[in-house]
Amino acid sequence: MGNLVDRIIKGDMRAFDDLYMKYKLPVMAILSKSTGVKGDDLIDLFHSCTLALLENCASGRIKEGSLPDYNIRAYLIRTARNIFLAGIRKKERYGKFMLPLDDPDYPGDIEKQLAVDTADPNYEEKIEQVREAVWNMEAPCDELLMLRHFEKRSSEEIASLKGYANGDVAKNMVGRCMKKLKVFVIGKFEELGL
Amino acid sequence: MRIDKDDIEEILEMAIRERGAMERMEALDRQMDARALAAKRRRNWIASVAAACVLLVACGDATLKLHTRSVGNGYEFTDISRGARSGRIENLLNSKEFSAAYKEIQSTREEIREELQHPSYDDPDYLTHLNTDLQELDFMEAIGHLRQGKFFKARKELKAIASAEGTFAKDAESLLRNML
Repeated sequence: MGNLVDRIIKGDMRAFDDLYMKYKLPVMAILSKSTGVKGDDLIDLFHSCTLALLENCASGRIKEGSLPDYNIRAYLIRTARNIFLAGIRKKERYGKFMLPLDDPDYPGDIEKQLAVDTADPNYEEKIEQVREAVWNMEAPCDELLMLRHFEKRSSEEIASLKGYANGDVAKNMVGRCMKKLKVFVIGKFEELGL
Repeated sequence: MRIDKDDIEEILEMAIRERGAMERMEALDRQMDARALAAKRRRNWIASVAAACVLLVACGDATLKLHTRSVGNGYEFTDISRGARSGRIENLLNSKEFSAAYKEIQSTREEIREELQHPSYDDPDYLTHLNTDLQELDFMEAIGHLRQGKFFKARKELKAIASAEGTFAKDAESLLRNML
């Protein structure tokens, strides 16, 4: 079967399901004791640290072979605690991209992408606009982009799943959806003066 | 600030991954909650069957023989679930639609065996859960035969469950003791 994280890095989303179901309850139990967080907030915190792990796998921050199964629990707990502390520092709920730039468990380079020098005063608003645009995507773009960027399906696989003639058609459709989304988001930024 | 188109695409990809992961996690949460509820209902059902046995003993009906009393008084199932597979089977047994109940047990058994051959998830807990479901079906079938008055068949089935030392072994042993 292989190490769970290595399988996720290779795009096996069933490994993500296995990891989630295996570690949810034990990690939440430990986090609840150490942070005092309960209920829906605790589930949100677990979601955030799992998202951070997933993003670090996708971005290459976690390399194949670098996180064996016996270290996953500790990794999730450490990441969740950092997110929790960052949330307290920023006095808001556990954001997905809210760790400090220099934190080793930082879930991505999104702040670096948007920052001017060390800070972009509008980055939180920009993040929210991006998130809103993605969550409000309509069919078939939502499904196509998820298949490509979340499930990491190839163009041929997408063509087979969606009944397109071939991989080139699927690639073209995915590209058009991404372009449409990009144009929308850029338009939103300009409209809001971000 | 000038927005670089490449930056936006990378951010959008991250947001798409986030949405995919969130939707997937929410689906997994629902699945885990449903499993926990099913396990709780199963424990409640077992407790109610055991309680019914104790009640029968306390009322002096300690010996359950091939007798209309076992058919009439039988085992009371709690009205647990109207939607889940085990709830449907229990309802059929409660309303004495034994043939339909056994058919449902058999088709459910086949579904679970198929799932065990090609499981949707690799999680060992999921596979254990499926095996427990199979044991539950065997136990319900035995209860059905008992309620139907098929004493010898029920006893044979309960002995097999007891000797398998699975989830329902102790309950089967308890029922067997009451049948002596």
